[in-house]
Amino acid sequence: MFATEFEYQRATSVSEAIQLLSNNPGAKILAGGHSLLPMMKLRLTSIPMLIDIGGINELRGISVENNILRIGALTTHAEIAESYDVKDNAGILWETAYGIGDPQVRNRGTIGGNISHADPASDLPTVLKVMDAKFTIQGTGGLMRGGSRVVSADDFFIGPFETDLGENEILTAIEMPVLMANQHAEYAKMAHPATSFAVVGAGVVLTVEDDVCTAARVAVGGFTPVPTRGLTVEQALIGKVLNEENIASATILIHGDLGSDVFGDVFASAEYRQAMAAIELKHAIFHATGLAHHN
Amino acid sequence: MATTQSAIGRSITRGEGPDKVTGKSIYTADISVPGMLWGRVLRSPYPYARIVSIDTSKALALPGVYAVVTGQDVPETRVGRRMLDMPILAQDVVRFVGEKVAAVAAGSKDICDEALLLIEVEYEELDAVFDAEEAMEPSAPDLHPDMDSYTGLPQPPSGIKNTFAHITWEKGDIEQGFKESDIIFEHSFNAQLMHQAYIEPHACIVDASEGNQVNIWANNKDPYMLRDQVSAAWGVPTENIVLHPTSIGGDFGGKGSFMDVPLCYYLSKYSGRPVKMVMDYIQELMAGNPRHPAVMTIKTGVMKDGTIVARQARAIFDSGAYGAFKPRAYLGGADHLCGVYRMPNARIDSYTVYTNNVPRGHMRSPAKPQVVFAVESHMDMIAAELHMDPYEFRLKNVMREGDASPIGRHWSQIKALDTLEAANKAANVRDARPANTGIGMAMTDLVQGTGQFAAKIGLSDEGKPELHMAFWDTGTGSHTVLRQMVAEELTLNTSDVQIILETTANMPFSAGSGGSRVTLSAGKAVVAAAVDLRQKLVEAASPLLDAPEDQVSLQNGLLMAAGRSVTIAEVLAATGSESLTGEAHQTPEAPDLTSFCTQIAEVHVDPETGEITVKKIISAHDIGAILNPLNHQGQIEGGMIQGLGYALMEELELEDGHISNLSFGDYKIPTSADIPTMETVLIQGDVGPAPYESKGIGESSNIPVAGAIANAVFDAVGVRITDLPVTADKVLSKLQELGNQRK
Repeated sequence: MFATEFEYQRATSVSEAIQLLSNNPGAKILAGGHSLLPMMKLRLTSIPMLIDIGGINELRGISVENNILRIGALTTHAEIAESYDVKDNAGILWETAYGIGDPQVRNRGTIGGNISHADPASDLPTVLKVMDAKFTIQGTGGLMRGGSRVVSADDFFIGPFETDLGENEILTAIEMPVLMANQHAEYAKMAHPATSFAVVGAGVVLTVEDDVCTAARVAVGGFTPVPTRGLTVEQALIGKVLNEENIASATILIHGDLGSDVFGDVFASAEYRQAMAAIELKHAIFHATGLAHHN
Repeated sequence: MATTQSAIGRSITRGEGPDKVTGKSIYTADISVPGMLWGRVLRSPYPYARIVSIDTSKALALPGVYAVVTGQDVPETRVGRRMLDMPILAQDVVRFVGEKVAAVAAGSKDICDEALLLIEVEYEELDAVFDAEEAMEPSAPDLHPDMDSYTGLPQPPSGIKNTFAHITWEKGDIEQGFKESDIIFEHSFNAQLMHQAYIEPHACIVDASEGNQVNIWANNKDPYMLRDQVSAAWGVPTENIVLHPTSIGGDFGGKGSFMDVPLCYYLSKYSGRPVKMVMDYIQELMAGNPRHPAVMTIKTGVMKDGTIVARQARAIFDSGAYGAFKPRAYLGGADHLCGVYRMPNARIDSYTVYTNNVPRGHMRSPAKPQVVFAVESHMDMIAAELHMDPYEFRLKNVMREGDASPIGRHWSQIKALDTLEAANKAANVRDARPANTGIGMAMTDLVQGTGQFAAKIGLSDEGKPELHMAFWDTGTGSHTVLRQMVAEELTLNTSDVQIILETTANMPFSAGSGGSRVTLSAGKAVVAAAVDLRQKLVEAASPLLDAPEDQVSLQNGLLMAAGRSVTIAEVLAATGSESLTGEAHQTPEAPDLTSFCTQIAEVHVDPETGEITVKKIISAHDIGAILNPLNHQGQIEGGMIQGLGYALMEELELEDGHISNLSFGDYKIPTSADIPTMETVLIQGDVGPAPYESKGIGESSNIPVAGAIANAVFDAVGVRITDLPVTADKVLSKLQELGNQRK
């Protein structure tokens, strides 16, 4: 089906895009168009104006400076999956980007579009959360850093398809600390056999010194409104030697971190996904630390 | 029979194969008729509602729209394959989510869709019923108050609410049998809603724009039956309705229903143009004609030594909102609910019930995958209770030569035991297996159906046979096998034989594809036509060879007598094509033979996640002569994979009548990554009801898979899943109940 009639504007700069956003109520930013255009064609949504930011080159690109990996919001999944800067400094993100959709999706879909869409089934929000990513958001107001503000991944995701992004704001960049030699990161997921979306996804970033875990960030996603940090799991890991027994007794605690808002469907019930959260988390830590992978 | 085995028994590749893989094949959606419009339908968003009003004025005003029709614009006639219970467009009530409420014909698909959005329908929701057992309760809403007056009921309605067919099979005295039994077991099972998942969705073109003749192109495998169905619905004589041949992109039992054809006629009439309707896959999954879900209970009385004395079984099939998509109002496959075992006393009750779900149709070996899952699981559950090996329990009870079937049928040959022993031997069951792996077995039989078929064989100018039929190949390779038969009888190569598809106007009635009848019934008609042509060639060659007819023979495509020979082309040149046509139009007798199949599945279950990996499936078949080994094996393996999908993953997810997995992105079917090692054991007998002592093979290997896998999962980790599909979620939940996570 055709989408309903809409206006199309091509912005040449971020400030122009924000200007267009604030002057046209209901207008939306068009990045890769991978989620938005199908929704419009299926008439699930009707949007009066699309502001295409595809031509704004300042929104593209990957760089590493002062141990911070910076990725422009318009950078495609394919560009991330082909980047040595990402591979060498944030292997977990590199692998996740490579696993998104198929080549067509990776060539068009962007990291900023993915995050702004905030699909709970997406892998990236979980990964960015454990990587302690920060999102740069530009708006009209006289905010700090010259009209822009920075929000952490922990605070950015509010609910399914709902983020901290304001009406007249644009996500411009994603930044995260690069992984150090003593840090181990992994994302493990049980994929839906037809869609490949996460039935349960589990991400971990562990800092290990002399076999002892000194810092940990873990999160699970795919079946909760937003990726859920495993704070009690983290506490249980810190100060422990990462052996099978300690990993198993820590990861089982994820059940306590999960709220009551857990999704289920005919393929996998909420109870099943809760049970799998601990298993996938365990697998992620096994992989991250190089322990023999459980069959 | 022919003198040489030149064509039969060879792995001849599909005649239409190269066209299919290069995109040359013409499917219904590819066909364009001059002046053709597109047609699309507006479907009900409610499972059960009264239509208060429909306003089509805005849709009609949209530029490019030629016609908008609602229930008021079409006759109130009800249409059906046997049971005439489905309106062409909803009249005053909708009974399922996806029921057709209005339709549009326009210059493009997009204009149609735009117009559909402009149709305003006011509904008044009614209390719906989605569960077949609830629908049978006296308090349930009466979905078809006029049911008693419907044409095509198998018998007067039983009086049970919403139950339009209650069929029974019985042998012996079931009450007495239970009295004589030492122990009685009873178990219940559920089978899910499954789509046939053919690649090509339903499509049709109807041209009723000029004169009296109605031309139809439809990917329907039963062209003559479709003709008769729409003739009754439209009040148009059958001689004015012509079905044209098209390629069919997969069937698996699902392409026998009329779908949009009855409605498309009215779009064509009102617009004065030919109209094409192609369902998209969302519509297919929402409102196709999927396989019936079933609730089944089986009760068995046994002696302490494991001998079965009595079995009583009940199946309730949820037909959805209508029964019109079934070639009979009930599912004959329910007669397999007692299995392939000897027992003196048996009774089967099968109920077919209306609910507010999508209407169900036929799928490969209708009802048998459901009931065989139940009966074979039940067999293993009894064996476990009796502390008997499932194989030994089956050995004790399986039908042997001379036994009557549980419902009293007699077969001239029974090779059930042969398939059971062969599968068991192939499985090496005595080998030690790793932890959390197990094997499970299941068995069935399948009887071939019969039907009327017409075949005509003429000769091309070069003297090559041309087989004329109004019979479409649904993707099974039937055209290739029929060409092999012509080649065999005329001592030629299969490549010499061309099949020419005729419209229904040019040939007498043929039953379509289905019921494992094609190789048997179409095959017999084709062989008879070829024999007829051969005899005519011999007669015509006799004067040319200056030899009496009884001395003329056909060898390697040459007519020979007394050391002389003439080619078929020379006979044709001398005689003319008029008299050199072989014809047959016949219905073979129903065979007194059945074919057995035993399967053994080997699985590994991950005790931590419940995930099931099927490592291997062995399929042992009692077969006749093989006409085309490549095709034969393709049917066996394709069936096993379809059975694997049914066992483990395929399910249309229904919630209050709404199906939620409306794309192949959500509805998982097996792909090459899911396919286990498949091993086939063929036990070749010397009798078969089809030509050259062959037997049908298309509908048996998909039947036992689910039972074999469920039994293997029990063997591996000790949990019994009684509702299909067997998912990791269900297995893990049962494992946790057991508190028995063996490492």
